[in-house]
Amino acid sequence: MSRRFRDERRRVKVAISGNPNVGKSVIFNELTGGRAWVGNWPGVTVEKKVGTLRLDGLEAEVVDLPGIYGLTAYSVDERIARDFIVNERPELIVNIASAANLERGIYLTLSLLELHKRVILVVNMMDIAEGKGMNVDVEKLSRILGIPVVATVAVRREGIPELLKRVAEALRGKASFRPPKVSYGPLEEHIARLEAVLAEDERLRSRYPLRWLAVKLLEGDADIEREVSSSKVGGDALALAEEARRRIREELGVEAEELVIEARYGMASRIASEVVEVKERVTTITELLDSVLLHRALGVLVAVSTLYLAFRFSFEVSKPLSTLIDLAFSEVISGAVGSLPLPAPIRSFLADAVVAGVGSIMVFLPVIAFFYIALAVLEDVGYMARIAFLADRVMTTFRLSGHSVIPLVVGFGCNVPGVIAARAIADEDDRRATCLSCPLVSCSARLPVFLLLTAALFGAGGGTVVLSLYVLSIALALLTGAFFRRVVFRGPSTGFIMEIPDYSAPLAASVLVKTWERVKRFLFKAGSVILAGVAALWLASVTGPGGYIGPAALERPELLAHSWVGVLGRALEPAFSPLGWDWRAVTALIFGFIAKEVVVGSLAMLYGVGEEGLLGAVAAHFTPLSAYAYMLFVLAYVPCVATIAAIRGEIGAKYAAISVAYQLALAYALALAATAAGRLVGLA
Amino acid sequence: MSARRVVSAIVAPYALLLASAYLISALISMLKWACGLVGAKASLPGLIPADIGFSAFAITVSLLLMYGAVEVEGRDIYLLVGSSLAVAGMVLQLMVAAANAADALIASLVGEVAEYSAAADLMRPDVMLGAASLPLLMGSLRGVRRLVGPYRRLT
Repeated sequence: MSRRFRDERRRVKVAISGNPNVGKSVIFNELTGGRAWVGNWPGVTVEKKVGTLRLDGLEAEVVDLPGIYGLTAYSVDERIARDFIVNERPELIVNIASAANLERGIYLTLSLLELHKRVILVVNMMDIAEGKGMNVDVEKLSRILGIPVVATVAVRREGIPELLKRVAEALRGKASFRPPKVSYGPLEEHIARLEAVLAEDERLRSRYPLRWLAVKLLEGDADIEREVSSSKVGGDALALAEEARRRIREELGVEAEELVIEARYGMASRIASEVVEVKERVTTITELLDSVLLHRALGVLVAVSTLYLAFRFSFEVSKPLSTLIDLAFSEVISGAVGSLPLPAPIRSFLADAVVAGVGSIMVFLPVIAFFYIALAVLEDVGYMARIAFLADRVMTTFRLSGHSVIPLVVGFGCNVPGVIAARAIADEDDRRATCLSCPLVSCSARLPVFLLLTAALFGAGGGTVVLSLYVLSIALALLTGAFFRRVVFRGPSTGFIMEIPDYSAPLAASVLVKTWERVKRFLFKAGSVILAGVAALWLASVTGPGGYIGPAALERPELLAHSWVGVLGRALEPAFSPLGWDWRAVTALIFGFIAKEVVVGSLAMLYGVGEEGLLGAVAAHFTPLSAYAYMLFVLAYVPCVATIAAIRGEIGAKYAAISVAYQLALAYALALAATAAGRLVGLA
Repeated sequence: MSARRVVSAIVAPYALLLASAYLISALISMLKWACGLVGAKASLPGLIPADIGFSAFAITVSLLLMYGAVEVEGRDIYLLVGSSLAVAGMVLQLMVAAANAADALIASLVGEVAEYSAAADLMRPDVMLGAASLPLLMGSLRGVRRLVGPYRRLT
């Protein structure tokens, strides 16, 4: 085979499309062997998965489009799918529909067929339809739609060989595609006139099916109007479409867009009723389970209990792996690096910056991986959608969506997976607001700081103090979400429309693939930023205005005082002295930028005491009031470097910077307010 | 008396008994947690964790089993969800016990003093009561299978 021919083959694209929760991921894995490259669609943080299909000498790039219901311009996901089909011109679209909800699936199929003829319809989840007493005649469906239709139960690989055969036939040009036209009734005359005008433009004619373009103009699709306006027939076409919409409104009393949707749904409904035979009405396991799991009171309790179990699984079951990794880095690797025959500064850089930096990421890894396993299982079972549904009422009070509850709950363990979990939120504004509010949830890394200060200064009442901080952290996270949603991301709420899928048993392969993709993404995205952050902090600790101090500064506070970190701590001291903190307390906060729990070790190092003397040193340098203000500051100030990296990865560098600035200001304001209030009531 | 009625006559009191045991565990756990908050000392069973999360979990299982005991129509589904949650809690606690043992082993291998008590992990109420919930899980599964017809992928 010539190289040119191979290259041409590589350009062949197959798109996978379908409603959410119809088994797209399983079929994507079947087509690609589970190997995928995961990234974002250009300009947005919607996940893009690309894999390679190798089939009987054929090779194609398989692209998993976001889960969609139609091809409107209202949703980011639908715009992505539409732009991909228009710009990338896939050779084939594998459109997946649920046999148990065929009408909605056919609606999308009809929408796709208006834009792209070469569609294979996969009617998946045939077992669920059968369980509901439904029988789907796929041959008849294929005849009506004029395209290949394959019935599958993808989780059991039933129908997959047939699907692969049909895909191969289609890629070899041996399949027939003769889709029917949707009849738009009173709109047809306007569509014909618009088509005639649009046909005069060569670029539009070669890029779009003109009938589809005409329908979109009648719908008033803003993106398409922009596209057409830049063509040479733009003025005429837009004026004609506007006139048509006005006439329809006046003559029929409805908007043209409603007629379009009605016509498509009408056709989808007719086709579904022709091919689906309901034998008997059967109670399903989903209906039975939802009678309990979506119960107003019991459902919430079950959700809380499930999250509690997922939490324990992530943090407690992963513990020995974290211990092993910690030991490997702190004892074995660090020791090995320390004994390398290298100059001391390079050795210190490798041990204290590179190894410590990589170690700080790797120690998190088991918790994050276990959390992702739990998350993937709950997603695949279909329970995550229910949790979001149950939480929606509370979250909408704060202008967040029900989807936001998962990232916030997860944040109590670690803010990093919390921020990453926000990816599941489809609405861009909701996702950004959730990512920015999640770091205010008190993660487990803050707890050692709280425990140290409360043990040193609050005695028996320490528990109540810690509880007050946790309650405050929940309030701060929700109010921050409300603030950003009302003031910064003021886009209209898309409402809470979500698919409540049928329950299904999770597949080990699907859970592992999902977990691996997410872990890999975390490692590459967060790893680079963490490493850079730790290296910068190391450099600022071993150098100062007087030049190079050396790695000894990391162990001797009198040397560290002359480093850039010490100088910065002293420079910031006047700003924090109203809060009752000296330069050492301030410097420890700078180290907390790496990870919040580092504040404890830094305080010990800066006060020149070991672990055993730390309680006394803290008691001597803080009052209960200044300690409470310090804990408030630790609760709210800049997210750790890993969380900042996660925010950058999810919603961009600009919002990561906003998060840092906002939290610093909030933390300072909180600490100052607490100090002022304490002094007002006579606390020292 | 039909076989089903006999089963029902056994299941309901047994579910109520387990529900009461979960409720008592939840209340003790909550009390211990509250004592910890205010620094008070109380003489309470050591094997029940001072954990507000466990309290919520145990109350949930308790309520589900109580519903299952008193509801006649939806008995099986309440018992299925309640006993599934109880068994999931047991399995998780067994995994935590194994993880704690592994963690202690790793620590001892590198010369650290590792304190580990298998009894403290294995005698917790989530293990004991979870094991006691297994018969309810089996029974309710059979009951739900009768209700849902041919589609039994989950059950």
